[in-house]
Amino acid sequence: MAVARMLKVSLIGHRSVLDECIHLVQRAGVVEVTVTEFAAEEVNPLEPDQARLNELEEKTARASFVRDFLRRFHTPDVPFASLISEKVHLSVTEYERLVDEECLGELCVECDDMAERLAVNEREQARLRHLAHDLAPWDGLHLQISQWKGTEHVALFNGTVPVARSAEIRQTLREEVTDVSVAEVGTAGPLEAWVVMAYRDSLEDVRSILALTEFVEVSFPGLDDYPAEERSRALATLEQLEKEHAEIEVKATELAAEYYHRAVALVQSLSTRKDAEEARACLHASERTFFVTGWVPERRREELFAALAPLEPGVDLTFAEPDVGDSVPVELINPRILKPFEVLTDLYGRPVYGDIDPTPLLAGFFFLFFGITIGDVGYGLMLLGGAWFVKNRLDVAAGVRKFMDLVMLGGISSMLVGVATRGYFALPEEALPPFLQYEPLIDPLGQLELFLVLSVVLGVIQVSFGVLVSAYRRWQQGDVAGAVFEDLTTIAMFLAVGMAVAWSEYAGAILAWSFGVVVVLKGRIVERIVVDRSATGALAGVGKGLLGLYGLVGYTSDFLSYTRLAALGLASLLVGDVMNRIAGLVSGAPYGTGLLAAALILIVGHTFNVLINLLGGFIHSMRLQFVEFFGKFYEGSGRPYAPFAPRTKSVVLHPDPGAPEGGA
Amino acid sequence: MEDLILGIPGLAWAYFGAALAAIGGGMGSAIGISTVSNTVTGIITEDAEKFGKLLPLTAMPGTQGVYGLITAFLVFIFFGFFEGGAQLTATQGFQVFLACLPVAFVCFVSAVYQGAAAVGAAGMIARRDEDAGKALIFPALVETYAVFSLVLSVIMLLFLAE
Repeated sequence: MAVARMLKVSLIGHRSVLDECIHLVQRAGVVEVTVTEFAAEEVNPLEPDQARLNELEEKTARASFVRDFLRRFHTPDVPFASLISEKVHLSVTEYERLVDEECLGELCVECDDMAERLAVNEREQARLRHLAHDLAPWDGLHLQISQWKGTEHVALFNGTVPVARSAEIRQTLREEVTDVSVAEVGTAGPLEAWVVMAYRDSLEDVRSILALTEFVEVSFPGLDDYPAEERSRALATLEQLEKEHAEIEVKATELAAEYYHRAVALVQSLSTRKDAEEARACLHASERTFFVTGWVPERRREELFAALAPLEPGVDLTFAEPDVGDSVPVELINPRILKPFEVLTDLYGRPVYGDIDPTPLLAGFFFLFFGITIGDVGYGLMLLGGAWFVKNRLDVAAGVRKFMDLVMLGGISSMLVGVATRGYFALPEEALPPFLQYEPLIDPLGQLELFLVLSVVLGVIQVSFGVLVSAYRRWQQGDVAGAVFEDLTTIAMFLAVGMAVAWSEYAGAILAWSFGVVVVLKGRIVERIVVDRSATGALAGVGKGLLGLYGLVGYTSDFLSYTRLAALGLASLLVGDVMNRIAGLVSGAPYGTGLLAAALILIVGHTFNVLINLLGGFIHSMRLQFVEFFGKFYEGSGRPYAPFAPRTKSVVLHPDPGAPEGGA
Repeated sequence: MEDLILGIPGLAWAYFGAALAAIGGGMGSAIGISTVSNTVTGIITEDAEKFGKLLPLTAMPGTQGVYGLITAFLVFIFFGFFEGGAQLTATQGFQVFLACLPVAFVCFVSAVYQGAAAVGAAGMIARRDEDAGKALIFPALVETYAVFSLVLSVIMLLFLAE
């Protein structure tokens, strides 16, 4: 139940086994490699093989292009594919050999060609659609486009106007210019096509008048035939292009079915190989030896020995405790039951190496709080079943499985709270079977004040616990005075307020005396008078003590924040109750339709309620840990342990059956 | 002579309060969700794999609408609307109306601003999807005040029902 003990590992080896050593260390995935300064003669930092790196980058770019192109045509064959990304399952050896067997060169050319053809096809389709649309109003004009010219004295031009404004524009034109003729060729949708003829002497006037209207001049450069002929030709070409587009898509879909998974895995495998090449930059080497350092969890030390066993005696490992000032990565180790709660610690940030792991401290509170926000046996069962299904029946990543464990625990907690509150799908007592018609420990709706008070009491307990943990940390770090004067005085303050509430007739005296003592202790006034012998220091101490006392306002706000637990618990209960009531209202409809509608409302309604409360319950229970609890003692600025290992995004690696341990 | 405040009887004031709570929460949720949806759909267009991580963020401003609905139903449950024959004087009805106001206003504002905060969080997920969990926290802080308003409205309704 703590932060894992880390060791600084130094690896010295013969240069003949350098590549193999990097490969085996990466495959073992237990060492976080670090860049270290090494001051010795004839020892220099190693440089990655730039030519090899360039080659790998080029291959990665090609494989990524193929993957991204084929993804457009790939249909995932996993359930809930929009929520869960598809995984490629490979053995370790299959994964490693992908790079050497890489045969996507021709495929890349083919995909590139198809992508280009698709792009050209789509551009051409868009152009032809636009052309057909523009030509539509001119279908009735029996004049070849090549003949759309004026004469020596008469200018001719074409354009469109909105049908609704046609008469108005024509009237305006005729009022201003007499030597103009407008022929209405036809309409298509909201547009009307005009052929405008005007004497060249009046052309400028006509154009300037039309420029003030919604007239849009139209021309079709490159077209010669009748508009109807040109339009029909464009539509025929469009049909042909659509057919070609569909054929390319069919071919791409076939390729996706065959190569998509391979491309996904290859991108990861190439990135892994690139990581190995770049890791050389962390190494130092002399003429015959190389040297590298890193971090390894103490409990995984044997795994590293086993992985490097094939290179014996070509490599030597030494382990040491971290030095003061080292930036040590952090791995958490907790019992199996607490592992799911590490999700919360990781969300906030891991502790600094050597500090307290907050996971076991928050686990109980989160478990209880989540249960209160849902508080129903039926909903708990739905969460338990749903999370079990996702974890065990769907191909999800390790992180998602861990989160599902947390949801399952939340489901159990909801069931426990549901038993205590007699919550069974939010049904009223009379609707429950007789064996469930027991007196609940607390009725959230009937005893709402008690429910609210209970949630505040839970807040007082958790916040006080946080202050006590802070005192423990200070004590451990040797700051005994801080633990006593800062933290334990705060607890004393809480106790005084609690006593004042319990014995309200003495509240005035209790608060006056206890707050006086708290001001003296928090301000360290006695110390300032007796040890420092400073009157101004004592005055400053009074100020500091009063400021500490004022902190009670902040704590009160923290306590009130826990009322959200009761509010969310009530929300879960009432939304469920609303669904039951609506179902009850419709259930009486004739011919069985009422029962069918009621069943549908109950299934959809309660599922919605579970999902919305899962979101609210998780986020608000988590927020209480992060803001109200962690704020008292925890920083979470540690660096997560990130071992040098194969990349496995969207890939699941399985051990090679019967492969020699640590072998390549 | 019928007991009225501003010409409105008690039962109508209670209905007015319940309706306002549902309207405020519901409108706020609709605006908040649509605000974040506009951003999220853009991100999903670029990277469909982020759908699962962005869905909770998009649904988040929806809870205020639920709080509004709960307040409305509490009015119906506490004052016997479901059983029929609910009787409230104008003063009592007006008090119920006032009790609904915290949820009606705070949930509206909270949902709208939670939607705006969620847009920033969606941008964070777009750039660093490994931080999807952290991104949920900041918009969730906005909802605190909607929860407090619900608590306050529920307590006020409880006092009135007693």
